[in-house]
Amino acid sequence: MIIDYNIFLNIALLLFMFATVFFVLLIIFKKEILNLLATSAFIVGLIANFLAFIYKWFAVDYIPLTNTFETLILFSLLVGSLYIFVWRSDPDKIIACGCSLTIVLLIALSGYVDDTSKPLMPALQSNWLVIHVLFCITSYAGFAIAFVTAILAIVMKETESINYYKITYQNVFFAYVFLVLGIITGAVWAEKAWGAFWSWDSKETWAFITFLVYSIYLHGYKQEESWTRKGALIVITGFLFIMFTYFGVNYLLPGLHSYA
Amino acid sequence: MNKSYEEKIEKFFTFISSVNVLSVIFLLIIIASTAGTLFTLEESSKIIYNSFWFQAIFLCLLLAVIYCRLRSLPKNIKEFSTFLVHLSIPVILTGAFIGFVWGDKAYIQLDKSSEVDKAIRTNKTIMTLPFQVLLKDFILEKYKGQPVHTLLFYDKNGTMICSRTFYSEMTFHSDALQENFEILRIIPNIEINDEGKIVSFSNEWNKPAIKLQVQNETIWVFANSSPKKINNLNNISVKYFFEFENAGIKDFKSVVAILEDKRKVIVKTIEVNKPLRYKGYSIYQSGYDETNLNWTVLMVKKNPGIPVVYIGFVILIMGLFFKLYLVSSQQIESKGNEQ
Ligand code: HEM
Repeated sequence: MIIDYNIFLNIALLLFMFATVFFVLLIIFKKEILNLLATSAFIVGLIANFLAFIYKWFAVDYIPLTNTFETLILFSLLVGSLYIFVWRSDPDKIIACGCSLTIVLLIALSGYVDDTSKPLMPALQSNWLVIHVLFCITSYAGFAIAFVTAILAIVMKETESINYYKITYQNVFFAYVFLVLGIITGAVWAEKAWGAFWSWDSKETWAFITFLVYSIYLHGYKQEESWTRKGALIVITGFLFIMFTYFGVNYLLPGLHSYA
Repeated sequence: MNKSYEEKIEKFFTFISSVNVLSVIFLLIIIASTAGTLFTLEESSKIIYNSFWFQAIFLCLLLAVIYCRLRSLPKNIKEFSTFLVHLSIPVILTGAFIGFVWGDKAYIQLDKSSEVDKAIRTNKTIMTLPFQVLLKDFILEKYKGQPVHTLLFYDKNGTMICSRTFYSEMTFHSDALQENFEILRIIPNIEINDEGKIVSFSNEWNKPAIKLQVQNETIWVFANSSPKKINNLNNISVKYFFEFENAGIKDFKSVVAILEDKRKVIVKTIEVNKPLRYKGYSIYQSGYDETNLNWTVLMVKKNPGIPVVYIGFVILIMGLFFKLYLVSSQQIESKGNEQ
């Protein structure tokens, strides 16, 4: 048997499934042993996910960030890693459960996309590729966590939801900064590769649209008292926009990014 | 100025700076750009992105930012971070405007070793450059796919009779020659002395050779050398053609010299991701002669707005990081705690 990224990816998938189930059981039965099991599964799962990324890197001779399959591995890895920071300030079981489930879905999704790595076309041979994709996927990961906490804020009782609103805001702001970095590095790169920093290509336009959606959220959140619930709904919608920018644009709309 | 008039202006600005109106401005841009992505870029540039009303929305955004966030300087450090964020908006939009008005774009189709000081815009008008561009060379690099081997058979007049392409050792029958052939070995890199003994060999595809069996005769044929006679077959000779399969284009680049008064100022290789910048002009690799590699297409751009836009980017990033620091160090209480 050859050890390759697929094995680690499958192990990670399995462990995150376990983590999700254990977190659900923990929420119901509140036994300390379940907490230990869930946390260990999560952490070992994250290590397996990291190894999958590293092994993919060795399998191709560039940093594997060039197509949907490769970025999905990074996406799940970053959701898990960012969640560790959220967990340090607030070890909430329900958020943990939601994040593990998100990771399960992302890794499972990677099984349905083409994992063959093609040689890089000229426009992609640039260090900007790595920086740009890292920023974009980091922001997607932050928005994914905010998506989970925004749903919780809406479905939970009012006394509990205050905390979820707060975590949602913090994650959105973090992700927003990285989205801006992603858009700006994309613009600087496009200026070098295509000769224009902004050309209303469908992928960049959709990134800009998501930026505006979250801008609406950030402005309302600071200024209006009655905004909280509306805000959470915008964050949920915003993540659907992110998903469309990430997947939908590649398959449904014409544009310069369509190699992704 | 008349008081009620001033009040009206004040009212207008207060109105366009409220969150709801701000949301409406953002929503309008969202809807318009979403619609834009449904058409081809050419169509949507005409009906949306370059249209007057689309730019008017951005003007409203600009006025709103200036009025509600930039009118007064930040009073404390917390306000300073978002002040920077909002300051970047007029800067970026100004840069974009400068590019829109004073930017210029044209194309050059240039033959090898010829020079030119004019480029042609898409509307067929001519852009005259303050220098000449000379194409010294054009280079196309392809990704190497797997090795492909072809044997070509010739008669005594040197006319090709038949050929056979293969990827690995195999046996085949040629109908044209009424004969069976066996490829015994393919060696990627081989050195053979005059007596036919192997001196050295390796696995890099430098000088491949094929060991071919015809009836009871074995012969070595070397890649891309002249045809070799097959003794068992009267007057037939065989040639071995070797190449890598084309696995896509790796790079295409133009080696270009910039001349002023016939004197070379710069020599540079322009490729995708590596434009040449000179005297406010940027020259990009754009296209090339796909059949003969004899000419290249370069795009010449002038955009004096770029530095302004990039300054805006830097201000935006600084403001956002500053604010992120404040948010994450809890110096700014989020709403949840205030309630
Ligand atoms: C594309 C345009 C704009 C961008 C990217 C932008 C971005 C931001 C960001 C990132 C924040 C910080 C949010 C937070 O504290 O969580 C903010 C706050 C704010 N923005 Fe904007 N903004 C824009 C336009 C505007 C406009 C047009 C107005 C005026 C109506 C405005 C008024 C405000 C106010 C009042 C705040 C909160 C005050 C503060 O925290 O200092 N913004 N904006």
